[in-house]
Amino acid sequence: MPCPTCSSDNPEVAAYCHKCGTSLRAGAGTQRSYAVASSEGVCQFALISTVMPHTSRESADNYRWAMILSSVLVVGATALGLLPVAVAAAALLVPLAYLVYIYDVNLWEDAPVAVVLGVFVVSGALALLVSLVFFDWVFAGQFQEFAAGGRARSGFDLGSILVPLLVFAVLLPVVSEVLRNLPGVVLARMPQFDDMIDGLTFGVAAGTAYAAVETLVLYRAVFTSGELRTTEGLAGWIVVVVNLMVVKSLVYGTATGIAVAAFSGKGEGYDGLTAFYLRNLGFACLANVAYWLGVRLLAYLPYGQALGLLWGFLVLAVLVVRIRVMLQAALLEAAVEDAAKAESSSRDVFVETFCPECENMLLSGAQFCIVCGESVRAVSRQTRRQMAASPGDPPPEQPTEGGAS
Amino acid sequence: MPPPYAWGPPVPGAPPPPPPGSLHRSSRGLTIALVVVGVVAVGALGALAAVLFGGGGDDETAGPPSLSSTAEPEGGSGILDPEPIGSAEPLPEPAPEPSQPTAPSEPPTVEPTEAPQTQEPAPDPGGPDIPGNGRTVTVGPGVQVLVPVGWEVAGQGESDVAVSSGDGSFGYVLTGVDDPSTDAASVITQNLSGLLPADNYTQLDTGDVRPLEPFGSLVSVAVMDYTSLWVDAQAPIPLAGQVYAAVRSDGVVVLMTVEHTPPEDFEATVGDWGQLVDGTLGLLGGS
Repeated sequence: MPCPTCSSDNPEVAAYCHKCGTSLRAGAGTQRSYAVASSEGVCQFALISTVMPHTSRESADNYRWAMILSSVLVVGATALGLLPVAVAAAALLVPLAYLVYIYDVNLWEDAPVAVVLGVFVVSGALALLVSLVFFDWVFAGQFQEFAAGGRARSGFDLGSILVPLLVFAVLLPVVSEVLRNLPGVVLARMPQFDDMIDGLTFGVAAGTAYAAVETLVLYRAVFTSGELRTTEGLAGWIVVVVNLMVVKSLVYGTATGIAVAAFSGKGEGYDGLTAFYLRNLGFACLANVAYWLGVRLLAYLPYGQALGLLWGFLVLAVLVVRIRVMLQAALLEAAVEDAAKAESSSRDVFVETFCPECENMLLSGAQFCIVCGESVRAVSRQTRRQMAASPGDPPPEQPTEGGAS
Repeated sequence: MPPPYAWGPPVPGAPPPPPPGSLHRSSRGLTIALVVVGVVAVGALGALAAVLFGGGGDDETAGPPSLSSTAEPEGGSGILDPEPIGSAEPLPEPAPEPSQPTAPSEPPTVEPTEAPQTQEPAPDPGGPDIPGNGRTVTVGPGVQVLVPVGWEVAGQGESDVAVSSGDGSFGYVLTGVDDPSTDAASVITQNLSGLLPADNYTQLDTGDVRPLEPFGSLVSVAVMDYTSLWVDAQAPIPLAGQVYAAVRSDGVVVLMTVEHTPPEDFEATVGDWGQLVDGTLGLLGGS
């Protein structure tokens, strides 16, 4: 059965083209499952499979449970008033899970320890520097204006916080986003990390590491106040801690992931500083600005912290869907291009192996599972290594650099 | 005979397929354990940091030196009546320590400059009817609040106003009416939870409520020190401050907080926020 998109021959039972991932089911049209996690829809708000694209359905569950258990512990610590415990754990929960993920999908093996830790250390150092510059060295007085405005119960004067708002909800998020791109972009230039999913992975790693260090620096008063246990105002702290633990970390991570993924571009080889990258970097900056503007302004309303948290979830949902749409388009377009050029990809399957998502057999030379449509590019490095050639043979890597795709 | 597909048959001699679920390095238990144990370990480090860097409390908190005991709020929403009433007119000439209360007489002569309702021009800063330098805003029952030179109004309602120095000092003034025989110290304790709400002012450490010598038309004045950590989604703000309560002979009550961050600089900046306290209480008491 020939594929209507790339004309590749497929078995009669195939639901998806093994080369370009086009749905072969009658009446399917453009509706199809998410190529990175075929059990989900493209526009579904599924956090784990989005920020951890190399996971399978089963391994994504592991991280889901790990995050849920850890979050319960952090919220429990907050409810008990153990703020130093809660803030430290909340700041580092997502980066820790991401470090385990990178190890789990074998990116750790392809990226030496120094490289992986370098992303976290460099991002953290940038966060430290920017936080000190903005909150301590240059704009400390402006930030305190937020607290002054918050004391008026009958309303606040927007004019009195206009300058702080521009500095801390516009300038700071833009500067931070640009800096967070640096470590991910450097790695995305390396031949072994030139895939869009690799760009997304290192972008998310850089963003979450930045968020963690920023939180620790800005909330250091929690550690130096001399109060190990706080007894009042804990409801507000729970909202703040959830914001730090989940929303801020993932907004930073997904926004940076989008930009660095766009730098990598579709297919093999990285695209570099293209208009597509600049557009997505702008989108990432805009998302950060929207997040902080909303959090800052909503704080002046009744239940402002909770409203800010909800606003953060909304921004995060937009970012997650954006990643999924971008990855979906990139995977399918790159596969179609490869099929049209009759080129083999370093991500093709070369030996008998099985789809990690549905466990049906993958065809040799396939870029997609013909049963569930899972992209071979989205599987873990461990899986990919088993798909490549015979034992002892290196994978047929043929990376290209600098806009080759 | 293999089908004539373009991809061809699997490579002979390929390794056996891995068992399901073995395509990642970590098992379910190991993945969950690594993340949870890591989070617990980081939390423990946070507690250790608090013990090491916290220094055990007030000595390192660097709050006002008079913080020696805790005055518990008595609960309730406080005694201030939000309905505004008339106001005593400030005395035209400064009187350092008048001993006789001044009865309410006429509406205030100094119009508010920041109130949205009036928008009248500000009086000349440092004019003869304003103690110290600055301008005034009027809130509640005609209570004039001095905004020192360099300070800005950060927010204003009918009966309250927040002001800021732009350099780490803040003030907040809330007005109302009550029985003129009310003790200012009880005004502080009964309104503490509303004035310093626990949702914003966490780790609140309060000192004794101390009576001050009343002057002019004021019949009772009290002050209390405190330190706290202001909660904010972007970064919390540690601060030290004082809350003042003053009851005038006509029943007008003013509650005022002055705060500064960082807390260790609170006393050193008394020349800054002190103008707000002296000027506002001076206008209220007619001195």
